[in-house]
Amino acid sequence: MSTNVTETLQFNCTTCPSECLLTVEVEHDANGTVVEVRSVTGNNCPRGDTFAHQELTCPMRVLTTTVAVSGGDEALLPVRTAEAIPLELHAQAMNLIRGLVVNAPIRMGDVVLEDLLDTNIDLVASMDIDPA
Amino acid sequence: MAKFKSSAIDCGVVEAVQTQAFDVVVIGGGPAGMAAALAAHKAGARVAIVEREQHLGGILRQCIHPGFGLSHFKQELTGPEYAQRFIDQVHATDIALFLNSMVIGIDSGEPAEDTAVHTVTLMSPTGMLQLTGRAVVLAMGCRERTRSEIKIPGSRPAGMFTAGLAQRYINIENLKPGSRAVILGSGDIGLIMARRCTLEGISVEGVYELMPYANGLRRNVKNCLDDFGIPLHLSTTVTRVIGHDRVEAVEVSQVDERLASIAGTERIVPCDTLLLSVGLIPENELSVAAGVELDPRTRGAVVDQSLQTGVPGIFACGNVLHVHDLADNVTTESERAGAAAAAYALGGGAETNAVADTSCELTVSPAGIAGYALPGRITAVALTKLNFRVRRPVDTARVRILANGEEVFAGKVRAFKPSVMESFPLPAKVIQRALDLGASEIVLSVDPVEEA
Ligand code: SF4
Repeated sequence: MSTNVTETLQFNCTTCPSECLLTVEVEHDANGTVVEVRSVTGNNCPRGDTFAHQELTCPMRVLTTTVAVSGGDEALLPVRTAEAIPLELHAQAMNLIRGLVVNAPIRMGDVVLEDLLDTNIDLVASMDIDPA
Repeated sequence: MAKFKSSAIDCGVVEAVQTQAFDVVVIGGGPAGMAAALAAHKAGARVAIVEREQHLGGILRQCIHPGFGLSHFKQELTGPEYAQRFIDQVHATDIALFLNSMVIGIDSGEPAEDTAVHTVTLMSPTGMLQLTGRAVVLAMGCRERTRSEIKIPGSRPAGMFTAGLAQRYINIENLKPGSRAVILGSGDIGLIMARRCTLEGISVEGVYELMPYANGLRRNVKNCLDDFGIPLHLSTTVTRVIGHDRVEAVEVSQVDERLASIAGTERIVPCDTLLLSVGLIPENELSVAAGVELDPRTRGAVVDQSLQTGVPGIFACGNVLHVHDLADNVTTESERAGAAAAAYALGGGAETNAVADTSCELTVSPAGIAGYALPGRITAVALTKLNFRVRRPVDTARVRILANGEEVFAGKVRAFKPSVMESFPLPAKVIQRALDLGASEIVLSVDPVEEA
């Protein structure tokens, strides 16, 4: 439809350390919703194309933070989402995670919270914590 | 009386310090120290790691964000995960660990009987201890530049932290440094902390960068600032700190091409916290005291192609040698240093260093927009990995190797960024060519090229 606008965006692919600068032509409808990703250039490999499409529809990021530890030789346990989750859920996830307390000992990879916000992704420990 | 006098001399003045013997003593238990120790151990050396903190892992324990391991483990890990993998590997060996132990000197006491052996003196929870080894690996990492080194005028209130210190407070000590922050400097730690503060409910007013470009990696500008709508103000710096007991605001000003602040552009930004992310400096006090020569450009040791410093048997790797932007590169470099240290220790010293060729003695210097070149010395005709960093971003430039004013190698034209530590394989035949020309120096020049 003629109300759609085509826009050219530039951002870096963050999939690998090459950080290719992508130039993306994207078509929006009147509400700003992405209708179609017209073209992606500047990517040195096909993963850059996949990244651009994901980035324009639902950007995904790994969330990392800390949770309080009880009885450990460290006060805080670093945690991460096992996989990337939608960026727009990060603030909500932080509110949920902030109240957690875990008991030592903890091993890297232990699940701290299952199925975070129905994403099907677990929140897991990033490091071992031994008892105090 | 005579008896009393002699016992006073023997016991009261010189108490024997306990000594333990190793082949390789590694100073620092972060990513560099662990990788060097593991490589030395794999080569058959008896290895010790000395670490001043209670745990291995170094700075990675507080770098809770992802972005590690993409090249070494082929998957994206957080800093603690990257560290834990190495901690597990170290624990699976008989590498001796001296934790909570501070090295106070290398070869600082009386010269040892065997002059080929280095002595590392440390203070441990049980007292003073000496570790000996034919080889020592320096892996102490770096520290942050502080406010006094960049000279911001104004008062001296509470609320100013280096970004890494704030990171330690938030991620390790469970302390909140403030509630409204301004970040000076767009180094990676500053960018990472902009996101971390935001997630923890500390509002970030903006990141101010003196240079006309961001100093950190692109991925961090995107994922840490753009994702949260945090503005990055380029060519702008903090010109005054305001507040008596606590920071109340900072004054920021734009700067011109010569980085001088432009009168009339001052703006007051209210905040209670100022985080500084203005560069890292290799931590080399111990190295200097041991007689290791430093490169004024990297502020790390001058090393040869095997990462050996000017003091035979002392090697250096990781951020104590030159500041890296990726832990994966620290690991690769430190594995080389650890293997070279083990070869040196087990081979009995320099005389058995098979590749060393007395006819090859070249120094390496940077030119053009290359800020430094590492190694600073080449003593073998073999494929050599050269590292360098450019001083400013350019879209089209090429690496050129010069010897006696003659171009002996030219790389392909591409873009270079100061945020990326570059590596460049220098072929053996180029080194040979330089020697054939009678050169005593190789120049690594990065020169901008006009686009056709
Ligand atoms: S496009 Fe491919 S090569 Fe470029 S940054 Fe993305 S994954 Fe890496």
